[in-house]
Amino acid sequence: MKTGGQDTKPATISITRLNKAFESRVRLGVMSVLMVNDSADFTTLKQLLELTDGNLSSHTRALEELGYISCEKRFIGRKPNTVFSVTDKGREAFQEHLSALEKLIGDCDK
Amino acid sequence: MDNNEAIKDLRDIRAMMEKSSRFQAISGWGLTIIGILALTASWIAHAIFSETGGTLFGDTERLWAHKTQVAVYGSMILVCICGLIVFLSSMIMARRKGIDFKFDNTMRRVLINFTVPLLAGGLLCLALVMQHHYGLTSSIMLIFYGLALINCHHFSHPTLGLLGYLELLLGLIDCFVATHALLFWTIGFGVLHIVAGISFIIKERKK
Repeated sequence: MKTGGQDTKPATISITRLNKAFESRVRLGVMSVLMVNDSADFTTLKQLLELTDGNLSSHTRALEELGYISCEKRFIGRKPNTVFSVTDKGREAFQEHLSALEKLIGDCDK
Repeated sequence: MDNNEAIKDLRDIRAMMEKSSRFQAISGWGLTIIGILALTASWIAHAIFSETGGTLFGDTERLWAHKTQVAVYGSMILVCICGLIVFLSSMIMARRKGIDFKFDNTMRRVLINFTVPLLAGGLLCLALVMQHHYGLTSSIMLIFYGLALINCHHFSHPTLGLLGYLELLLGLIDCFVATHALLFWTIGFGVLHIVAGISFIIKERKK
């Protein structure tokens, strides 16, 4: 891995399309899970990302407000169960973010 | 954000995608035990087939057919026992890794993608044996088992895919070789499982 070249940041960095919404590791994690699974419920996400209820719900709410994920509340027996899935908009935004990350690495390696 | 952070982000994304969509609890010991069982089974089969008592009755062909039927039914029971071993060893493995062992999306996908081709192959074998066509039994078992592994490896460990392709290749070669069916079966289900199992154990140790 090359670490040099950081002090002379090329101008391209400023025009990279890194998405601020995915700066948080939790949101990045939620999106990663939902990109490869049709849907995931709250408990599964919580266990995968090793989070507490409150922590996860604040991030899923943020992603929902951005229109990146959709959530469906249902009941299993008497237990409420929230199922999340990624929206088209979210998929596009995440893919753009991934390309930006890749581009960033590519540029720094030059 | 700099280069290192971007690389770390991409790694995290990749790791989370794999963790959430792949069945990780493959036990090397489970695979090795299956391989050893298969070796034992083919040793028993070899003993049954090389016993020449049948010639005394002058009805070798019927006796041979009967033996083959016993062997095929026996191997089907063996498949069920192996399934049980895989299940139990995965459960132990998951517990050790701290993964939740439950029937979730990932496990459902692995099971469906693995079981459907395997069941199709198993029924085909059964039908052939019932119609007294014995020649291709071992290659059909190998081919369908290989296809089942190839089909499900996207949701589990990539090594299973490699194992699947090797089984498939072996089965296809077996199709064209009229003799040595038991030898192909032994390599495919015995030797390959032991090799795969040991490679899993070594990988696990390295972590």
